[in-house]
Amino acid sequence: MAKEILRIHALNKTYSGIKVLSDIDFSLQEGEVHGLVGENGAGKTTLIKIIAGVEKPDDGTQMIMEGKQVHRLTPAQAIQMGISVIYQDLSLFPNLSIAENICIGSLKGQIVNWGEMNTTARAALNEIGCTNIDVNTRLSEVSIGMQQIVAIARAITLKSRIIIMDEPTASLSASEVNMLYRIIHMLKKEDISIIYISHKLDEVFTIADRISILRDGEMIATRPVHELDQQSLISMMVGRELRFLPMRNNGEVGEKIFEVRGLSKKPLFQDISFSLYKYEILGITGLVGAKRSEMAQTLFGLLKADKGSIFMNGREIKVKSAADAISKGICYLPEDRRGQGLFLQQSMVNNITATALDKVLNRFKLISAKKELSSAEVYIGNLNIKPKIPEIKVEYMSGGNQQKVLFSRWLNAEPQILIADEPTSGVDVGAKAEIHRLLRELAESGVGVILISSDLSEALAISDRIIIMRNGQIVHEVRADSTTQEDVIQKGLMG
Amino acid sequence: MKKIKSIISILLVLALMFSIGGCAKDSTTDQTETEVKGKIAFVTFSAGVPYFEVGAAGAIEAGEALGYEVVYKGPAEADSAAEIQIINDLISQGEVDAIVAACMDSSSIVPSLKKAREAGIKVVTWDLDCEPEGRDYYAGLMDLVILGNAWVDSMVRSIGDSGQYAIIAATLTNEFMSSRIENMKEYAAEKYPDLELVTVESCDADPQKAYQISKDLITTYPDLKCIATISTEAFGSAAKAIEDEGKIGEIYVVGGITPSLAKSSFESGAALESVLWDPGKWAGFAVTIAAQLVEGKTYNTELGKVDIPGYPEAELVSADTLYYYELLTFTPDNVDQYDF
Amino acid sequence: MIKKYGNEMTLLLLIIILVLIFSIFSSNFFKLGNITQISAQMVELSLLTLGMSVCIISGGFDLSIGAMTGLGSVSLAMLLKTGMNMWSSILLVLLLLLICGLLNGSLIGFLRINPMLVTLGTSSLYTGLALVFSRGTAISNLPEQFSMFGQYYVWIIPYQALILLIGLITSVILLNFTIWGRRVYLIGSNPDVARFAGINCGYNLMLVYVYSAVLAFLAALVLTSRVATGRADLGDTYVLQSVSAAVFGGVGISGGSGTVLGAVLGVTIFAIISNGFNMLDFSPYAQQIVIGCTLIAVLAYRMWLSTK
Repeated sequence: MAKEILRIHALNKTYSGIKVLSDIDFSLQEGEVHGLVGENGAGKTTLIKIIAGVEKPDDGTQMIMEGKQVHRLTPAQAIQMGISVIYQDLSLFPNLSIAENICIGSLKGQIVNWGEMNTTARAALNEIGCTNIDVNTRLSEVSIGMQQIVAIARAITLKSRIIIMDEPTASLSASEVNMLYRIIHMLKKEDISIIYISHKLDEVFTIADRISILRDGEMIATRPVHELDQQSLISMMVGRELRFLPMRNNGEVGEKIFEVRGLSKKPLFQDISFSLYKYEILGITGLVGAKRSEMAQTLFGLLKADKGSIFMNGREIKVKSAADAISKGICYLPEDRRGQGLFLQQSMVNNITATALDKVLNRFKLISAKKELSSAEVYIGNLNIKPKIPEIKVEYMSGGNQQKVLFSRWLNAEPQILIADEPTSGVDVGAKAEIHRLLRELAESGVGVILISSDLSEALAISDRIIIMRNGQIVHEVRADSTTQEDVIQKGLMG
Repeated sequence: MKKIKSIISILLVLALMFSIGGCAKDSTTDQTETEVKGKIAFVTFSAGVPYFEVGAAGAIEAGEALGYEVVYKGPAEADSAAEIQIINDLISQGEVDAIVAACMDSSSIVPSLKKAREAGIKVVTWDLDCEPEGRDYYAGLMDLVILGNAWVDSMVRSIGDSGQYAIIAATLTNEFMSSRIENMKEYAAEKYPDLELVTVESCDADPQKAYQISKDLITTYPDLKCIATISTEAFGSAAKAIEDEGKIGEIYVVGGITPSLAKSSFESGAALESVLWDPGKWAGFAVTIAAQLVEGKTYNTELGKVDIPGYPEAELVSADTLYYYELLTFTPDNVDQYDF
Repeated sequence: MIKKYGNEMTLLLLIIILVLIFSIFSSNFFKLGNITQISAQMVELSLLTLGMSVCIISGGFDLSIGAMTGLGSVSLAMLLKTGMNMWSSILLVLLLLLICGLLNGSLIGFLRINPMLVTLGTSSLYTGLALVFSRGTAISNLPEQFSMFGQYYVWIIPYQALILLIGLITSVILLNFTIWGRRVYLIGSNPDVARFAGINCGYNLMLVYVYSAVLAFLAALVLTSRVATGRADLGDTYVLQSVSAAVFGGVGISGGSGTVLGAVLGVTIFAIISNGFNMLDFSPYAQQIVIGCTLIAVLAYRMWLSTK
């Protein structure tokens, strides 16, 4: 048996009171390719961030690297000890040359020695069998696959013992994927260990020696690849039990209130068509990168469609801008709460009234503080937002309450169609349930609700109908009560 | 508790302010303990410019000699609005008997100087004058139009009284500049008939252009002996051109620029002197006049010589203008004594 | 109330303390003449600081306010010298500066070019125009009637102080009580979030720079009248001063926070310090140092409050 290079024992990680990883054991052997799989939000990213020293684990966690106990790892130390992470976005510098990108972390001293840099870069590329590359080319001029190779070469020049690859094939073509496999084999021969994270299970089966399965922050199992098949892996990923009580409408579906026909925006998404009926919640799910958010933002007027039409209550409408969408009753609750949703520096009141200021004007057409406060207080009460201090800056509130503030804003805008993009991400269980109930109440009151969620069990539990998107297209549509998670993953996600 | 803390911190800030302000005050007005006949404010539109620093030193020195306290005031950046504010604040303060001002332009300062005069403060301008209603007297050096004649004399000292010379002016379209050039021509033709003016060029106050013109002059006129510059920008450029063409000792540059700018031309040997004035002396002239005005003296009886201590040549040239006619010639020997 | 306007209250307290101290040290400080003097002298900087504050609150900067003031001053003086009716000259110059503001605003709002770069560029454009118009000289001998804006009094109140008061009240109302004002705060707080909240950032930002140009126009009017001269460089030194005054008055440099009232209180403090020190014959350098130290101290104090 090969020698163990990394062992993690009893790893816990808590973010502001919410446990995201609990009691994880993990081991990595020299020259091993270790697949790491799990649903969105299962904790894979957090785990690799801890290994790379980017995040600090809770106290009591043990990490042993090559037989030595490691404490309070920093990213610089991790690199020094031979841990490299190739993130999904590659973290390269598009304006620098290939050689510069490869050598950027290993430069010594103050003065750049160009000759030496080119030699080092060529040596690293040779090591993974890529000999015919001009290292002086600007990175932005080469393909994504080539950039992936540059990122790996950089890891090699850093004398990495462990290379972590996060969704390395997300934007690679088939031939590039094969090249990547070849390189991984070479790295294995050098006794370099690889942690391979991928949603694409067939890839994991092809390349990995062992597979670890994460679910809801827990390590479900670590097995050699030959002991697993796709079916058993999927069931381990999603678990048997449903985490949410299904909340469906009582079979009563009203008239069609919203319809999208042939909506396209190249290269993001093509030919999206679906309908939404009164009293129902339509779930849209799919992997990260399926372009669900972009599609929603197009409906909301933030992006412009190339072609396609939108109908509301049977009449065709044109959405010229977000303000136009809001005035027509289409509201979009964005996925990135902090970056797109909330004015963190502003008070709760200002956040709630931001899109419906014309409702709080006095007879001189000036904003009335009194009216503003009372309209905010309605939502603070109804949605049970805490703390009940209207003047509090939103950045000081918890994730769940922040999300409720965001909901308040859109409820205040009186939507006819509400598109909620990952409304429960980063929200604790209690607030999740409240948000689910809120969505259902909205649907019952006649608002058309579209729920975009990567959390399959949530989508299945809350929605009445689910459409599955992949690579910018709708690949499947099912009634939520007639399907299972395994089925959805099989049909929709694996392809 | 929080209130108390905030008040304490405000008090600390104030204490800091006053200690700094206090230190700075001591250094400027310490020597005025003995009986003082009055207080004169020396105001410029930009403190921290070496030219005005030298002026201020001369003003304070002249004031001391006459028994006056002279306070030097000016904004930290060149700004006429800020100079106006200083004058207004002086009026409010009500302590000064006279203001000696250098103006950034001839008009913007006038409304506030008028107010000062209405408040009984004597106003004397020096350096650049303002419109007459703004001041009691203008303390001038001389009619600057004929300053050019001094440069002709300087040329004769450098090259002797015969030979070819060229003039580079900052502009040819300005009335003041053209009459200065005309004066120079006439003066040279009359006094030094063997000097030959070959051409008059304009460098548009651009040092690069002045350099190019100088090089062209040197090649076009092989017998050229002197380049007379009527532009601050041209002096150094002409000297550089003479140096680069290897004509040191054969061709000289003359004109009037500040000693700090003249220095490199002296070092290369391209110039032997620069004829300008001493801003300290000039400012002292203005302060002396201001002091005399405070003491009740008036000059507007008849034109001609007036008695101003330290300025033997002083002359009343019009009802409200006095000149003191003292130029200063900077040479390699004295250039290091002046830092403006 | 006190808590909500805590920053303004602190600044007001500082003003009171400063007035007390200067009154003790200088017998002429707390006299009607000097107080009106201060209120007249702070007007131009206050007007420009109002404009700068609105820009900073919106998440940007307007470095061209000084150049616009100079351009306004020169064109006003030149139009007046042609013998044109005073009010039509003023109206024409307002129009000219509105165009300047529209240009700034369109480049920033619609083409989304960095405000710092845009206004740095247009700043040299406007200064260049002013220099071309004036041939680099000061334009004087303006009609006597025109001196009303900077030299006349209404009872004991300087005319320009009334202009400032109107500018301040208008700004407070616009920023705190209109939809546009609220949107300026929201955009400054986070432009992406504003976009996702359906706010038309481009249009609202454009108006910000138009508003700043209007204030530069008022500053040019008052300043030109006060010095009875049109000059291209009249507003130059106010640009950075207005940034420090705004920050001193509590306007957050990253946008979305602070009030225009606080900014004007900031200018008031600068004006009081400068006047008081002139009365006490402190050197101009000492004033610079003191203003610098006060600025840093107030910022540090605010930081300390916010981290508690």
